Amino acid sequence: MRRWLLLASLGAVLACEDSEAPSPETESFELDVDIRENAQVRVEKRGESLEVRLTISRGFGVAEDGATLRGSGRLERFPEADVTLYTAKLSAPAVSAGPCGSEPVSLALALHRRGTAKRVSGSLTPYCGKDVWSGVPARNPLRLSTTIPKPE
Amino acid sequence: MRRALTLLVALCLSLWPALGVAQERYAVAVFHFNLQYVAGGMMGFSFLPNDALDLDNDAVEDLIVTESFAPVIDLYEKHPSWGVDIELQGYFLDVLAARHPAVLAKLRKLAKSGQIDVVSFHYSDQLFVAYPAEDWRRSQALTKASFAKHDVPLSRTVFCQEGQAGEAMAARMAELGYRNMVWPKNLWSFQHGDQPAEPLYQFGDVFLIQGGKGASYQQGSLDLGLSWTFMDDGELLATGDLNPYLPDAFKHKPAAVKEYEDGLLSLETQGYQIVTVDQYVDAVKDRVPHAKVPPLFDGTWQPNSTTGVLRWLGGKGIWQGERDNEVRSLGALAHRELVAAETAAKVAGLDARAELDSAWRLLALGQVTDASGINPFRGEAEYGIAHCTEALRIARGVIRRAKAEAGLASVNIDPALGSMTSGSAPELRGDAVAALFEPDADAGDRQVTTAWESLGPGHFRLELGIGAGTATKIVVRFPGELEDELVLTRALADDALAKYRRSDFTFESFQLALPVGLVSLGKGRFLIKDQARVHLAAKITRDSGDVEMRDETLADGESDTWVFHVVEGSAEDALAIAHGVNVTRRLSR
Repeated sequence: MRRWLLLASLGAVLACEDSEAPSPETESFELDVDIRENAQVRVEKRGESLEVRLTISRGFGVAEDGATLRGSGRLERFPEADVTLYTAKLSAPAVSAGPCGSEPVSLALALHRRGTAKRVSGSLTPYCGKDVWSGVPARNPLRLSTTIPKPE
Repeated sequence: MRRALTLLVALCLSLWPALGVAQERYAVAVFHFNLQYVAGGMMGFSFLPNDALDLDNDAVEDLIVTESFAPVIDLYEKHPSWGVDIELQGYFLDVLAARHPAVLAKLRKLAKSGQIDVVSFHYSDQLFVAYPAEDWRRSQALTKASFAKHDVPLSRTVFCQEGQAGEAMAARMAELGYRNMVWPKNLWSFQHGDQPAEPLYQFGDVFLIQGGKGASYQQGSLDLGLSWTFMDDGELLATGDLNPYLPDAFKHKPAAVKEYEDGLLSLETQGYQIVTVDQYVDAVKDRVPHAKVPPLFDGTWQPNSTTGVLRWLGGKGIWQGERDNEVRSLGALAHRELVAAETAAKVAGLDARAELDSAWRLLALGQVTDASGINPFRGEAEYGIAHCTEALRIARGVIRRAKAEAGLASVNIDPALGSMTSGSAPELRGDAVAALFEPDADAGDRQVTTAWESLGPGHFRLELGIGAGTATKIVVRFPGELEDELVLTRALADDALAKYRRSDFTFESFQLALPVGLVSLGKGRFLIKDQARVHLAAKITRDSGDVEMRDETLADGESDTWVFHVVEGSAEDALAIAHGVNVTRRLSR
């Protein structure tokens, strides 16, 4: 079973001391995708803004196998439930053999964490078209889950 | 069921009274089909990759249609004089339209001819008895739209996923034009013992029959008999009792269909009319008494084997990877956020209808029963989580846009008041106080801590911290005072208190889903689950006022926090707080 890899605060460690902009806090982890496949995700956090890079082993017709997708998002907090949600909007070019045919694919990332749990889990949901972030998905949301420690 | 068909017919015939009495015999069947039988598909079910077993979601759905559903439709097409009820979720029609249009066309034809009643009360096979009514309302509206879109008549009969049934469904059915409730016989007998069924019951303003249990009625020259020929998962008939978790063996077996067909032909020869439930009700409603329905708790159709709703709300099945509390509490969290997003969009004048509708659809799918029971594997639990997290993302996105539209950085959203105002109100927290009582916790090697807060007169917050450990079973008993009266709410009636008398029932214990989280502890004290923190079944008993909750699915090494509210006051006070916690939560965003 694939397991986690954390490179917490790597960006901060390597940051130039006299840079004005604060260096992003980073997390890298590996997710299981529909149990059998996997994805590597790197998240850069600046406050609650996220920059996300996701590399997926298999594209399931909504991305190329092995594709690396990039996008931005937010860290959403639900304090009344002690839940956090990592979100991002990722874009992929068309996969002609997939359900979207010649259309590009918009892939919404949503990963939740309960309290201080090491584990996060959630979804990568594909929608047909450019910058389409709701509607009936092109296929079932891909199921993501892993076990990761929180940053120090 | 069908193996007993011949015996059942012989028995019925032997009981027929003397000649000269007009004998009417009706045979009905409800085929319950669930396209989400293996929610998300079989990928990852086996420990090692296996191409024969690793079928994705669509492949498993297609097998259900081709191997089990289509053969049943074909059987009835072959016998135009036979009627039958086919129950399915609205989502089923969408899939037929997308990938099996010929099957849909045949179903439509037989439904329009009146031969098949296509029964549907929810878009997804979701655990609606465990959530606020709004989630079901959105789901039912989707089903209605799906039937209209695909030009399939929606039956007036109601049967539901896992046989979910509840008293308050009567009013919702009447409001929406449904007429005939099929109440599972075991959910009835579990509560009142195994008594003969009446031919027809009055259920509020609609009718009810006991599903799976025959009935008879003799009065003067009238001699009516009702028999059931099938009342089970529809997937099992044409496949020889195999289910889609065995995809390599889940195949259409013509001999199995033939055996059932022969049984019905025999019945027909003996004078039975093979009809839909609706046709049966039409035939008898003006000629038999409408029996009174005794008090009935909400539940599911096999309470003996599933320990009521526990199997979906904390009870462990046979596979690893089950996460009942995480799955169900996430569904509750997404409900709250969507309700708040609806309010925010309305206040801001933001047109987010399409986005919100798509999120409600995802929530319905995410609340599917199979994500936490009966025997979900990891992939099914993650199906629930995946759909709910995406619904949550969309809802939060709408709230962000509504705030921007209104020019507000921080807002309080109060769905009960329909308001979104600037500011950031404190969460439902208070000052630490001494314990009102000590719950009795059995958590193996895990440490359990309690913390009490006062939120105002008679309103307390109880936090149970469950530390990391290896025990996967956590059992907590809340001490109560034994009173005959038990107060709670019923599924699909969030605004109405329901009061039951323990002495009206024969069971020793019963598991309650508590759709708004509320149950009485006696002597004016009430327990309320904060469902986004803890959403487990509540066990009540006839002989004790205690309430027990358990989670047998907490993963090794993981900790958890359960949050409850305790109210000392009137039941109305408690209901108002339960609403504020679980139905229309005020959120600061």
